[in-house]
Amino acid sequence: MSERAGSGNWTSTVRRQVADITWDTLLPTDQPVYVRSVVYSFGALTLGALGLLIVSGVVLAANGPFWWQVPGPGTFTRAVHYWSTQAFFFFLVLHLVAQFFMGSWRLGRGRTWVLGALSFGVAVVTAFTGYLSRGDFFAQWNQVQSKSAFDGAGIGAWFNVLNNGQIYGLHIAVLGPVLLVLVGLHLTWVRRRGVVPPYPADRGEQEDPAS
Amino acid sequence: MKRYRTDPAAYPTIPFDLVKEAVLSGALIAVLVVGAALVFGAPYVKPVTIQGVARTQPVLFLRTAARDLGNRSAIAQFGPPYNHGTAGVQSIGFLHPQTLLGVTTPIHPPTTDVLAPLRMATPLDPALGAALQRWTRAGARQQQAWVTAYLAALPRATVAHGAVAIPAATDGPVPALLTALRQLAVGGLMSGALDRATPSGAGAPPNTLYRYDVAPTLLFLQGQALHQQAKRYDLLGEQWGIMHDEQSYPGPWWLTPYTFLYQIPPYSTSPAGDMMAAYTMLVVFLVLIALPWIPGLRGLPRRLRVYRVIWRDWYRAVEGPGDGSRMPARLLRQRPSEQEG
Repeated sequence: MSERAGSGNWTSTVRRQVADITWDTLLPTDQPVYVRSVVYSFGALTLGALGLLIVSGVVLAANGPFWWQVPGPGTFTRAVHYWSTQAFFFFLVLHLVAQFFMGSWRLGRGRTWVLGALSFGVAVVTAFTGYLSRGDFFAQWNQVQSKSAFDGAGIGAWFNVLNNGQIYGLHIAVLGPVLLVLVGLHLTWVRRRGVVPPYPADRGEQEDPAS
Repeated sequence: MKRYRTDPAAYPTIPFDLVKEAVLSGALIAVLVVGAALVFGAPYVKPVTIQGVARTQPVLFLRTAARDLGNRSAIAQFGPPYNHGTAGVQSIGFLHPQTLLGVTTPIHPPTTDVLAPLRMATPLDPALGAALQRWTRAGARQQQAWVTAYLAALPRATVAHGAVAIPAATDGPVPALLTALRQLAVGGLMSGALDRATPSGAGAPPNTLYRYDVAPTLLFLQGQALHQQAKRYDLLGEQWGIMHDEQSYPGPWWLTPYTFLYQIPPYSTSPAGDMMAAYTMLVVFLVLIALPWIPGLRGLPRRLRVYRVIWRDWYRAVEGPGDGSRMPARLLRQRPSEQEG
């Protein structure tokens, strides 16, 4: 089947977009010269924290909920998970704010922005379900406190924050993987489109009216 | 004058090692996180248990149980998803999404919290059967009169060596029922009885082995028992609740905008405050997602000009004397195809 014959067909669209991605796109050996600022590290540091979250989370899940509530390696692993969450959101918020000030959605990068914003939203809910799964007073208190919010919003009948099995399942088997997929797509689109160029300079550059 | 380039590939390049950056970022984060975990640990305050409350605050336990028996607790008339009450149903105008999915976690406090656990304990204390029978055979008005008399006498109760002495009152079988319930709790059996698998439990199928849904236990504790502990750790809603953790640890500070809503009217004063806060945050999130297409907001970064700080090296080069003379020349790798006017 020719490209033209397949156009308009979603499978062809996916195939074309995947074909656009090359190793050079994913692992570039150079970057535009304007990529010289500490703010470009925030995304990478967020990813680093996400990696630690996954590793520590897998270890916690493998050993079960009681393991992380008694002193010893379980408590230490929970502490790594906890501080990874803090680091993740610290660099994620810095990344988000910096990308806002850079207008990173410009020049055909709207989808990249949407994927990033969705990742942020899913991360907030993922972290919340993690906080409810700690098994301590903070988790217990926020379970009963937040039920009214979910009930009032109309989703409490399904999203039962008092059901530890459901909340923990959502945390590790639903929201976490969804977050990873969104972050993966976000990164892929960052690489496909390249890093957004700076706004036109005040002088020395002639702005293209079309931009 | 150079033409503004919209394609990153049209710009001069500098060498970039993604693998190196990933390794350095990962190593930095690992050092920071593992270091913090080793030095500070993580917050953990023991949860409040029904057994603990029954042992150390017997009068509070008995008051909670009496209010449940009289169907007077906060959850009794709350509404969906626990029952068909209306007291906790939040509405904005004609919208009340809380009622859409109906009752999925049925809670009837007299049965769920008191009578069903006591029936389960009857084989351990056959004398309980008579008190239970007296209660169930009485009319609703008589039951309420007994509970009212019991609650009136309770503040004058004295506690000695773990035993509670309550002044005599016309409270029928209530003292016998609630003393037995407290014994069940002191022994550590009550939460198991509450979260049991019965059709009147928390929506669990009959005869299930699992105890994942702890709604009955948490709803029994949710009043003063949890509030007094929460206040001690500054976790009440008016204390910016969820935003900070118990003890001196950073909490989920990224929920600041959401928590802020609860500090200001109408969110802090409306009975539908939770619903309003939830939907406000949904709107804010949709605005964040759609920001690239919202006139005014999408142009904000250009007007704020913070980007000139972020890309200051680039602007110095483009706007300075000569062409790129202040860029780090040793790093530049000019593309042959690049055309500058």
